[in-house]
Amino acid sequence: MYEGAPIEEIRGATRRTFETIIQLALSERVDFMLIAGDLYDGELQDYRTALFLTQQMAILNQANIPVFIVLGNHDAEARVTKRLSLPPNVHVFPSSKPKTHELRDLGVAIHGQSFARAAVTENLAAEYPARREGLFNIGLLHTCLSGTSGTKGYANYAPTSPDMLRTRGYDYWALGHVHERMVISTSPWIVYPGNPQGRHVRETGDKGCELVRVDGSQVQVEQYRFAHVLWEVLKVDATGAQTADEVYERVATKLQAIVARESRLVCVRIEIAGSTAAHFALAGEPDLKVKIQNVLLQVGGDLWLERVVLRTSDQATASAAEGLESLAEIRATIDGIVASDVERASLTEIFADLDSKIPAELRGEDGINLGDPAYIAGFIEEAAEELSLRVIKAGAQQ
Amino acid sequence: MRIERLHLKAFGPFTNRDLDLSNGNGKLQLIHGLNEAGKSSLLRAITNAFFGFEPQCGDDFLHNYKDFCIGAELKLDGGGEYAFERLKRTKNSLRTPSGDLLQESELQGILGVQRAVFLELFGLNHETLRAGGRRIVDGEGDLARSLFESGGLASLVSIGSALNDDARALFVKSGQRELNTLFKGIQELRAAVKSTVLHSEDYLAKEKRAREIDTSLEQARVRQSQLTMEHTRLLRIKGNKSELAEYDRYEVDLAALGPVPDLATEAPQERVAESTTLHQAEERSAELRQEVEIAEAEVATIPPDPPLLEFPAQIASLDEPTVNYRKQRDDRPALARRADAALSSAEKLWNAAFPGQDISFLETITKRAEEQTSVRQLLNQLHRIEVAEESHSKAVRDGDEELDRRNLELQALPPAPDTRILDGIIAALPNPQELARQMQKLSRETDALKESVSLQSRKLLAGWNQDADLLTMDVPSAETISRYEGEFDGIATSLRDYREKHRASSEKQSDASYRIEQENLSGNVPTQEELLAEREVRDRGWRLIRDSAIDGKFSLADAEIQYQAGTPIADAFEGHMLVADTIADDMRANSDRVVRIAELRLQLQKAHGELLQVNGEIEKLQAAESRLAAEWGQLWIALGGTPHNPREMREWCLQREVVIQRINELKAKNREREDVATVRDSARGQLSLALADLGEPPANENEPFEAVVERAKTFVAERKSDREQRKECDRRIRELELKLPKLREEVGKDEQVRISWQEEWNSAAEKLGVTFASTGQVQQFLDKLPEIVGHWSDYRNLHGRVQGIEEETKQYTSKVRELVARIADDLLSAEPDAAAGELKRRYKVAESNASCRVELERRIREARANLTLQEQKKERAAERLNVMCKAAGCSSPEELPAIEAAFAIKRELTTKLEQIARILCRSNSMTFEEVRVEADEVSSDFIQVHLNEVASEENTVAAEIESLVEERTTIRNALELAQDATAHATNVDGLQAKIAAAGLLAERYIRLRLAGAVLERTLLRYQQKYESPLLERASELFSRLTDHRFARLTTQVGEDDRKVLAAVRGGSGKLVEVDGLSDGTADQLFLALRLAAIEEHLTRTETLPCIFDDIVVYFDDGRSKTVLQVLADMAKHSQILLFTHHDHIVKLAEEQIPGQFELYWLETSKIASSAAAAT
Repeated sequence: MYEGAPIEEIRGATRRTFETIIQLALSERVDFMLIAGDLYDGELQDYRTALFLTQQMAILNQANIPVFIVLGNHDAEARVTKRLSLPPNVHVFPSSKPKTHELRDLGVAIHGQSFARAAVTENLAAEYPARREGLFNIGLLHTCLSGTSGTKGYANYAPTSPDMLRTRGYDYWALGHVHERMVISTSPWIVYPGNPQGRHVRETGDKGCELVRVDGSQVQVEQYRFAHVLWEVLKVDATGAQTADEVYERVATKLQAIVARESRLVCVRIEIAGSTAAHFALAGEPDLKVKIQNVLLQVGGDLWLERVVLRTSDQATASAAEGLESLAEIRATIDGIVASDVERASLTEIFADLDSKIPAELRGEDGINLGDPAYIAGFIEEAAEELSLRVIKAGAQQ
Repeated sequence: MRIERLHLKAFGPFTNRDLDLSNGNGKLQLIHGLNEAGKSSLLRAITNAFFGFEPQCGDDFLHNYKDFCIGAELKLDGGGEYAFERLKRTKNSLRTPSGDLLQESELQGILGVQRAVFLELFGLNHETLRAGGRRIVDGEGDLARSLFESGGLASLVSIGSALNDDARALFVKSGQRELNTLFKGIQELRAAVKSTVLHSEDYLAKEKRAREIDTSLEQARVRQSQLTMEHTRLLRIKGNKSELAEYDRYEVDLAALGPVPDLATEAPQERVAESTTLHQAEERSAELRQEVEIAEAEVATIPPDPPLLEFPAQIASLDEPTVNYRKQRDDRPALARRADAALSSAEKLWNAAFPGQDISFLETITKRAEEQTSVRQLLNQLHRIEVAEESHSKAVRDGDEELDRRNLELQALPPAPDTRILDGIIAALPNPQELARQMQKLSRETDALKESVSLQSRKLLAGWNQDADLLTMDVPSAETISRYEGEFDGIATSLRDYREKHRASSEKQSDASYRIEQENLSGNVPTQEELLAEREVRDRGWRLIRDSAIDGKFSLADAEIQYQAGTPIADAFEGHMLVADTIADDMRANSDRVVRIAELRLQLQKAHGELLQVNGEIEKLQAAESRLAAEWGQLWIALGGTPHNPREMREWCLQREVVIQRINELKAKNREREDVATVRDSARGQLSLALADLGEPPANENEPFEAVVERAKTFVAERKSDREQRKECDRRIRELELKLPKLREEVGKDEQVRISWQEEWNSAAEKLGVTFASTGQVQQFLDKLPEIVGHWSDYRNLHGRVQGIEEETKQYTSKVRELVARIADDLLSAEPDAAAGELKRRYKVAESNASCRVELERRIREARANLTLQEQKKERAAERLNVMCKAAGCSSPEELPAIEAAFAIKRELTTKLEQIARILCRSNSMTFEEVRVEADEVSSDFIQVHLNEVASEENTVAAEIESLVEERTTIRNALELAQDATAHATNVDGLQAKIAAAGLLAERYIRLRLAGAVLERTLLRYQQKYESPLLERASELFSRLTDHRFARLTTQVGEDDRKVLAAVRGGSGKLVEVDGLSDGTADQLFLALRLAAIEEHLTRTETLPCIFDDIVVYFDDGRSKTVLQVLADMAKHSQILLFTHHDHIVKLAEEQIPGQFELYWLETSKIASSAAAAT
């Protein structure tokens, strides 16, 4: 979260969305519910989430709606999972081996196996039981599916492939692990529903769950979208804009489209790009975020500005800057650093003090890694930008 | 690149002046001009032509900014040419000489440097030369860096410092910077998150224990309920036993009374009522007999009715006539006087208006209405004729007089000059009053603004540094202020919330403590012994009542003394009975109280915990507030004091904006005032000339503008008035000459009209019968006639009314005398109104006597009827008393009270027996038989032992329940608190917010530090690349400029391991630091460094013209010659312009570099060139 964020709404969004799913199950009078893992975050130690889940499952229990769950890598990590005491309508598949639940009244067989630990590298699907004839067979699996670009960037747990899934002869594969919705196949149906509520700006767009209707051999899959809070990255093209105000107007126009479309809270990151004469005015604006926030206020609606990312380049002043010998010298220095491993490695030394103080929460795979020359080199262009701006400003002042 | 020509069309002191430099190629171009000739302006002109005009350059003393225009023709190194004109515009200021737009980038591409670099290297005057040199000396002692600075990258070092400062403001290894604080905050919140995590094992263990307690509690409560029931049963039996014993005693008392007849409940009351009725009837009969006797005696005294009672209508009819008779008798004399007066007035007026004629003619003349009208019309016609005659005569007289006057006036008027030119000037003038008013208004406004600005500035800076410049001072932006305001408000709101929580928790704590105290105070639980003792007192009371009231062993008063002296025994008994019941109730309530105390202790503990947490939060917030206040104070360092809060400082900023706006307004007002003065002076000159042309004195210098205008206007107005007057005289004379003959004709016509009228008048007066001597007398008679008729009419009316009154008086007297003769002849001699009054009085007396007799006879009849009724009542009461005696079995009514008393005792005993049985049944919810059976089940000897055993076990179970409830409440509260994720969520949110903020800030720090590092390396590279060649070339030039008194320049390591520049003396080789050089030598050193840097720069870019403005001012002739030679050498490669105002520099050039320089004379009116002699 950031300063000024609508904390209550964002914090409660995931639970509110889960409640909506439960209400959908009740209103649609579904026969059962499937959850393909990662109900919790692995680091989660707080039992209150478990209590919330129990309450929601109890609602389904009262409506006689069974729930089938396989535990994913995060659930397996989470300490609360082991202590969970769920109502009798909830069936958690074992992690030792696959199990099949037959719902004879409905003509359905559900196959599944939970993760025993976070890093499951075996192909669990390969061991799933054979199809039960005469029934509608469903595979419930937490997996990183190969052969699709959509799973790139996800930990390769319980890896399997669409072909492997097809060999099981099931009618429907309900998959978990990937946060984006993906329909891998419709024959048989292989579906990642994605997570129902985006957690941050990297999980954009509307989200929800899948409502599957089966009539004989006819399968109809419908996506319900009802994320409580929407995350969006708004790209604003500043090309040709002469002034910062003109850019703000473009931002306002884009935001107005969102406000006209959405009545719920939209958390928006604004990326301004393009070649513009207003580049230095924007880059040199110390309160750019405040300026953009003012635009949000003027536009109205339920919007929260997550961040402003400026990727503009200069149009006219670039030519003036070219004339500055100092900038040429700076560019030459940067080129030298980029080209030399030794130079880049030496940069880590200047951050030793900071490195020793960085809290663990800021480190990690996507976090701050000051011991890595490549990480620091990633900032070199931004540093060059900062320098150029200051040099040009100093020139203008003289 | 060279400047071939400069066209100074409008700039500074120049207007359409050209400078042709095309003939100086390869030579030093020496531009000579005296002081104020425009040398400095020329340097600014060249700079502005190249890089655009600066917003407020101050060169607008002759030309307005909008008119600025400088043209230039350049010859490029590659042989090309480039011509342009520079205007003062915010954009599109560059164009070709023919007016087409040029791209700025094109010219900047040719120049290859920014304005700062150009001024630093290529546009030097003595001041900038020295300042640059001083920077070299002061610039950390590193020559390369200093040269780097002077080479156009002056800002890089300060940028590096700024970057490092900015980075250090974010983070230092040990300190309290923004990032350090955030890291610390993350640590704290991490711990806070950990402390608020709900661990599943804890939650589940508590939940299990809560269930176990519920089970134990249920069992204990069942047992407690059983014990309570048994306790209640034993207490009930114990109480019932004493009640039953009392019941038995009453039964014995009842048997002792023997047989007593049953009487009706109301028998004693009936007996008393009948006896009373009998007695009252006897008394009333006697009273009625006496009343009859008295009334009959009164009737006998009233006289019989007189005969006048038979004439009530006739007597009554006398009332109204009596009144009329009196009134008319009174009015008649006054009416007669008024009639006489009216007649007298009429006769007087008639005789005056128409003397000699009897008033009886009045009746005749009032009937001749038509004749009166004719006479009145002729009188009116005569009036009109007289008016016309007077008017026509007067017109003829006036016309003659005016004709004579106009002719004289015309002859006296002077000739008129032509004032049209002056009139035109006046018409085109601005309103002088308006001008004066504007001037006054502008003066007032500027004075007020000046004072306001001064006052507001002082007010705004009150308490701060009064010398601070409001216009240029650095103040935080509105967004920054808003951000701080938000942060301050946020902390204040949180503090308020936590203080409210603190108050609420304190109240909860106090409330729980108070309630526990109250529970403990009310905890004087009565004991079993106290209950038994109170019941014993109650029983003793009942025994005393029974012994006194029933058994009659002693009186009730004695019983009261024995039981509770001073209180009626029944009340005392009832009081003790209530106390005994209350004690039993209190004992049952005690177990509930114990449970309440346990719950209250838990509340107390919870409130204490909340208080501790809230105190911690308040301390944290107060610390944050202090930190924020310190940062806030830093932002306002420019004010030299401690700022107010952001809201007030925003207001301060707004006020500052207002002051700045006022300052700008003041400037505008001053300009406006000057404009008005110019307009006024111009108008004054025109007026003065025009007045002189008309022979009037011209305006002298001391004559105010308004007076000149007024004089001119008066002059024009007077001449105009003369012309108008002449014109008017001519017109009027012509009119009169036409009009006068016509008026004289009208006078003749008037005489004919009067003759005709006289004839008509004579005829009309005769018809009316009024032949007076003059028309005036006729008019007077006719005017008086209505008044005479009015008086005559009044006389006639009043006279009639007097006659009527006399007739009515006669009729009334006759009527009265007739009635008196019939019924009261003794009144025949009385006046009619007195006789009528006496008749009426006699009638009223007779009527009253008759009425009194009737009333007495009615009362006698009523008394006799009532007497009969009383006799009947007496008989009925005696009969009822006999019936009662029969029922009670006695012979006379006197025996009845004793029998009734015995029956009352019997009834009271029966009631008590029924009451005890009813109480026992109701309090035990059993039948009387069941109560007796239950009481018989337990022996009286052992009942107290059983009670003690049960009470002991009850206490044990209550303690157990209290303990379980307490534990259960604690666990339930803990579980409830655990489910409330607010604190945990707040901590998590806070942690995430800090992580996000720290991430952004850390990235910012990385960028700044990285930028700083890149800059450091850039400077290092530059040093390595350029230091040696620069120093070498500067050494050569310096040695040459100092006539080799100094051999070279060198660097040495000074303090802090920094390089320091030093000069090496020729011969001795002694090192002299820059501060040790004379001013002239230092100037030569600075010049050498600059020339070396320029040469180095020109090797890498397009050549640029170098302009030196009086840089040799401190050089002796020898060194000046050397400089001239060096510059002449440089001029072979690039354009060198040397400005000077010294003639001897020109002479030195002629001596030192003949043929190598071109001389130009600079004047603001012209720029001439002349080739110097090359000898």
